[in-house]
Amino acid sequence: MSRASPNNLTATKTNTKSLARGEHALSAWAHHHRRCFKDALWRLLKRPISAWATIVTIAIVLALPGFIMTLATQIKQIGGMWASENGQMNVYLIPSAQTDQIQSFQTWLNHQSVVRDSRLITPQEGLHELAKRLNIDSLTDIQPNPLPSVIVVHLDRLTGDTVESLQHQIRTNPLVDNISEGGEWIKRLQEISLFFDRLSWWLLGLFGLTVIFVIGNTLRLELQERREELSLMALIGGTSRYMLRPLLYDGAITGLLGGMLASVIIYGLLTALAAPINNLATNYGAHITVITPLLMTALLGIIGLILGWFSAQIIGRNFIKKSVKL
Amino acid sequence: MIEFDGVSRRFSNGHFGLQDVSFHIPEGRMVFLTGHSGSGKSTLLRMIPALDHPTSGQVRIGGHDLQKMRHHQYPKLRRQIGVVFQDHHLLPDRRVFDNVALPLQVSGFGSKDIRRRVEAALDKVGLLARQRALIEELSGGEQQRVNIARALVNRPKILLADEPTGNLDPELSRDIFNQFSDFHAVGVTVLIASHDLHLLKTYAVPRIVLNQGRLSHIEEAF
Ligand SMILES: Nc1ncnc2c1ncn2[C@@H]1O[C@H](COP(=O)(O)OP(=O)(O)O)[C@@H](O)[C@H]1O
Ligand SMILES: [Mg+2]
Repeated sequence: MSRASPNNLTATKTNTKSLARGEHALSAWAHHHRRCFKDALWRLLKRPISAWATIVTIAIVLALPGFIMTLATQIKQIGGMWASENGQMNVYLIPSAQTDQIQSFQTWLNHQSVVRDSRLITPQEGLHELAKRLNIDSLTDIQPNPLPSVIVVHLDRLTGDTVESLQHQIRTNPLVDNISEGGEWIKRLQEISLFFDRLSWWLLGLFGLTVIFVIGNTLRLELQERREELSLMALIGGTSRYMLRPLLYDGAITGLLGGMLASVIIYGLLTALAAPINNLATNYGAHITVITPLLMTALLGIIGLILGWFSAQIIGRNFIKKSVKL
Repeated sequence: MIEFDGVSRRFSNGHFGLQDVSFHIPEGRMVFLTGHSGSGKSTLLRMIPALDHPTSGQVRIGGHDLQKMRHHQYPKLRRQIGVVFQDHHLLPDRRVFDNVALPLQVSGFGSKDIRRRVEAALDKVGLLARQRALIEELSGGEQQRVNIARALVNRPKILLADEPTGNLDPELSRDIFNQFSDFHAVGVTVLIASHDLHLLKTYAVPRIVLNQGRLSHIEEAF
């Protein structure tokens, strides 16, 4: 048997610490991350059926709240468009508004990208018009004139979001008393969209919990298999963070793929429903693109990733504490 | 280096694995821990890397009171202790190299350092040529040498072995024991639990003798 110099394996007080914290420590850490990532992908390929069963389950679970959320956005947009009364909006000003204030407000309005043009109807003009319509000449003599100044705004590009934000800006202007809206049913539509919005967040919370359980269950099986290896790692000085790392990658990747698949499902549903919705929308001079598929994929992917990571944290920590318990 | 002070371990079934055991092994010594099967050797060894804890009494390792140590400090302690335990096997589906490299990976060494150290350790136990072999392809004696290489690759201050010659023939046992002597020779504190009478008779090593969980006596080398 060969006998190397004993110095090779000498134990001294300093070496254990200083080398481990040396210049390679950071690259070793990065290297471990890379390996955990690769291993996680490898496990996915090695056990395609069970892994994909989990991913599909997550996708279905996440698709429902995602779909409802998208629907809520749709309704809100349609509501916003209808609220603008077919491209026209009446802005009623407060009685004390001064002419120059009104003028600069109108200039501002005309500069907004969604505004095609606007027309000011002064109280006198309003009264004249009313008198003409009602055929009562004496109406023009009413003092003081009870009518407010009105700016009739014609809107150009009807996308719900921009109209809504414009409406908001107008409403908060101190000169503005009120703006015309399409009546009660528009409010109801907005309430419905709000309801769906809330519902989707609740569902997301509830179903997110489900996703955490589903991923957790898969991870638990994996942990059972690696139990011996984990207790060995604990014995040779592995921190729980080190032991947890591969698991975090597994959970995060599973969640990520599940979320992305969910977006595919939602997009499929939307495409199926797009025709009727767009029929409706084109009547109002608009075409709906609610959220680009890429954005939705990214969003749901990130949600899935966070849920998976979180699940791995909980399950992993618990398992290491209870079963490895070193 | 290893201090036990009135250590008892009472299991949940009421049985005492250890009872009022006190001793002190100074740094750099090599000591046998002996006693019949069931006398508490494994229970005692497991307390040193904090795998198990006394129900009363104190264990101090390198001056650190383990009772006062927090959970997150265990990894640091364990990286300074090499163990050859029966119930912590090698990973059979991995290569010799990877098994020995594990403690270094866990401690965050870079791959260059890992290669250098693993090769040195395997050379030391005479298995350098077999570093690419899978564990399951090795004989029992070879596996035990891989175990030793893994215990030492991190250059621990303390080496613990539980029945390291368990089911090996006398010649292999001597071989393994020589490995331990070498590490003792370079300053590692070595504690070997064994009831291998042949081994015990052959070597002049001080011994701590347990009997039914109690410290029977301490024999200095003859
Ligand atoms: N977890 C446990 N629960 C109950 N009794 C145990 C446990 N572990 C060990 N023992 C008992 O403690 C005694 C000492 O065991 P051990 O330390 O393994 O002895 P040795 O290693 O000297 O053979 C034995 O009687 C054993 O049955
Ligand atoms: Mg034993």
